[in-house]
Amino acid sequence: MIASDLLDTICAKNRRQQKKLSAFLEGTPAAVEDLDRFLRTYSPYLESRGVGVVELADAYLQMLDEMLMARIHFTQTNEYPRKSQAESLEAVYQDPDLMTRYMLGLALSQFLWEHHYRLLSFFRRSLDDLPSVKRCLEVGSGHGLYSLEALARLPSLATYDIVDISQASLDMTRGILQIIHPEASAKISFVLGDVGQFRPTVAYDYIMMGEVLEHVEQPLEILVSLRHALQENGRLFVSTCVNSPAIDHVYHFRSVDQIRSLLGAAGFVIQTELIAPSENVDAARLERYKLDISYAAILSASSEPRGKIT
Amino acid sequence: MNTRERVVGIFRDIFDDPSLEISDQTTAADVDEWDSLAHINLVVAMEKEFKIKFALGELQAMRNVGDMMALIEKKTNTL
Repeated sequence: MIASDLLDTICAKNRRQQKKLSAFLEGTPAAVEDLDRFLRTYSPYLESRGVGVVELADAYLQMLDEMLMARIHFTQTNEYPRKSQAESLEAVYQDPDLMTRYMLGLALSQFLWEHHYRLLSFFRRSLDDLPSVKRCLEVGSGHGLYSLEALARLPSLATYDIVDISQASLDMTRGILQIIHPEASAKISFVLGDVGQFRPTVAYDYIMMGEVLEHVEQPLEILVSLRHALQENGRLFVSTCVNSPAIDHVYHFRSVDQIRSLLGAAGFVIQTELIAPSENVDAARLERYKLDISYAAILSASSEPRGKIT
Repeated sequence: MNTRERVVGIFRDIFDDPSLEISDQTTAADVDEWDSLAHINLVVAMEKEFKIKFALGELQAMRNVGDMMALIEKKTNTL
């Protein structure tokens, strides 16, 4: 499977996507090359699951349609469709077919959407700055793409624990890693469960939590527990989003400042951050239509958490 | 105003173009500014104007403005 075949299939089925993807990819050939590498890397896994170009394109487009419905609801009510993690668990995480399709669509979005591609690039750079990481905790591996990046860029990794609330996500991550990194994946601990109930037995020098906070009801509690799991000079990669309705999003961050305040309340210091709006529009339009903004940061632990958001 | 006039009015309002011409065959490919955001705004405006709700399957099945108008007519005639 190559990128051009996939893109042609997507664009033939959805003219609005043709416009959007052309606008981004024609100016960012690196994203297309990256997509090609991603497809080659994931091909053995996809073939083993009977996922060809059409199925992959359909997974992506179905995700878009579901996000469209969530965005319509959000536009009309200013609320995310899901009110609780329990709702997401029942409607999404415990449906293996839906989760697999959803995760594949999200994985593709890392290369097809400019703001997600910027997130991925930011994450990669953060790993390149931490070559000596030995103990890594990943919260919410989802499609496994970030797990792959971690294994590729952290040569000193001795402990790698992955916690995810979805069996389908763990299966996808494990399946991909077993094919690409069979030796390393044998040493990874895959833990099915809610990160809120996860009790680490070691202190990690690197924690990665991509696109999790918007899925939980108590993000501050999660962050505080992770702060205690982080070694003194450790780093935590976090990404989340503002005004981003989706089929399993629960916690509505209304601004980047709200995220920063939460991180500070949990006892973290922001070392570096990325703010990536989903559309290249002015701030007034971004605010008027409450458009998605992706946020990522590399954090270090500071003093004791204040325990409240100011 | 009939359904067609109301739909055209919404398109002209969303795209801020009083002279925008829409036909049954018009698709997103024919209107430069018809992107995902505009599409959402169109759907929201149609639902509000006609007091209807589109299901995901219905939105997926829409190929052009003609399909949209036919669906609106169907939904409003059964109210």
